[in-house]
Amino acid sequence: MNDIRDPFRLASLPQPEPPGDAWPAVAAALRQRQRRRRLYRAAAGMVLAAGLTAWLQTDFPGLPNPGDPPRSAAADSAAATPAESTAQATASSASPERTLAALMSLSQQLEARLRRLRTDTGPMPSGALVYQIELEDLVAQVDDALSRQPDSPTLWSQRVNLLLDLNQLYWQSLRPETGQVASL
Amino acid sequence: MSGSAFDITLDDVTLARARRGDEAARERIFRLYHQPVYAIAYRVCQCPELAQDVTQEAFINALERLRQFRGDSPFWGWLRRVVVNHAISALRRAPKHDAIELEEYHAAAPGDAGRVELGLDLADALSRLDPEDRAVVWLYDVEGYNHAEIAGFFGLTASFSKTRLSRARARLRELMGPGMNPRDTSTDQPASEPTERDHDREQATSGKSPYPAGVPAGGC
Repeated sequence: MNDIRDPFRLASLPQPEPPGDAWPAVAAALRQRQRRRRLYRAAAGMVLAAGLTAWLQTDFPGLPNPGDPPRSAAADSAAATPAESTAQATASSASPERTLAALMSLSQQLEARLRRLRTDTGPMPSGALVYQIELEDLVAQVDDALSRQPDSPTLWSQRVNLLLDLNQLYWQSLRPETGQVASL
Repeated sequence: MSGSAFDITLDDVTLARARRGDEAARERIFRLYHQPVYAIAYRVCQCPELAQDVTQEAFINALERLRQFRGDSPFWGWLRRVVVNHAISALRRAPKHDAIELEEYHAAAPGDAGRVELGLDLADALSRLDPEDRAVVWLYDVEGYNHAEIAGFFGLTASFSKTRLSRARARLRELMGPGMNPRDTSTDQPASEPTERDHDREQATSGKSPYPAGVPAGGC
């Protein structure tokens, strides 16, 4: 049986000392990975947003065009020209400026869509209301951060993701066949 | 009682801050455990450069995945497992050296003549073990892991660990010569018959093994 631990007293060997301070290298690697993760998240958010925009454009052709001037709420509610897919704009954008422009445009489209959905949906059920308030609070936080960093693609991407969540929440709450709020 | 130098308590505040990505808290964890992490990496790999790489990889991995630490056991135990896993992976990736028999080593180093008779010192003897044998004996004798845990690190059965421990101790006795009088290893025997898988591994590290029966067993 190997029931006697350390018969050679290996534990008495002197502890080898590390050759140098490895923290700068470890910290740099951690920062680099964190940056890479943020980029992946932003990219994934953009791809998701682009996909959803394409879906919204297909199913709700009244959405405003990214290049169109701002319209009144009345004009907004009357379905206009089918918009070109922001997905294509986002996907083909290589420069940060175009990415930013695509995200801003997508954010505007989602805001417009939200306005219409709010009108159609009416009051939300209490279960969804909590989530709605939470999401709107997060949007307000992102807007606050955007007031300090208006050209941050990460913040715009976060805003788009939150608006997508809000859109989805309203869409799930609405029974399309009756226009009534569904119980979540 | 384990002789591990890892047994250092980490306060909850530092852990919580590090989990949120606070760099100062992460640095504090690094400074607390740097030495024991390096020490175990070195003992398993027996190569300063490889041990340094393992240390860095293990810290990066652990600090990135702090949220996976559930807190139902001491932090140092979790960190130590991360390090041992990295060290064993590195050991397996490291290029194998041609076997050099003890006699050849002494023939090539006349200044060391007669050292066999006098017995090698403990650190030398340890460094001359087969890398996996050395890892097993260190993890069992010093870090206090049991056979099932050691087998888990290698992805093998407990009998692998028992066999390797027995072999490592026998080899240490042999290398250290008659002057060495371990506390009691006379009853060291594998507790069960090696499995077929263990047998395959034994063959891989027998006479034709890339690992030396004698010198040097480092990974560098």
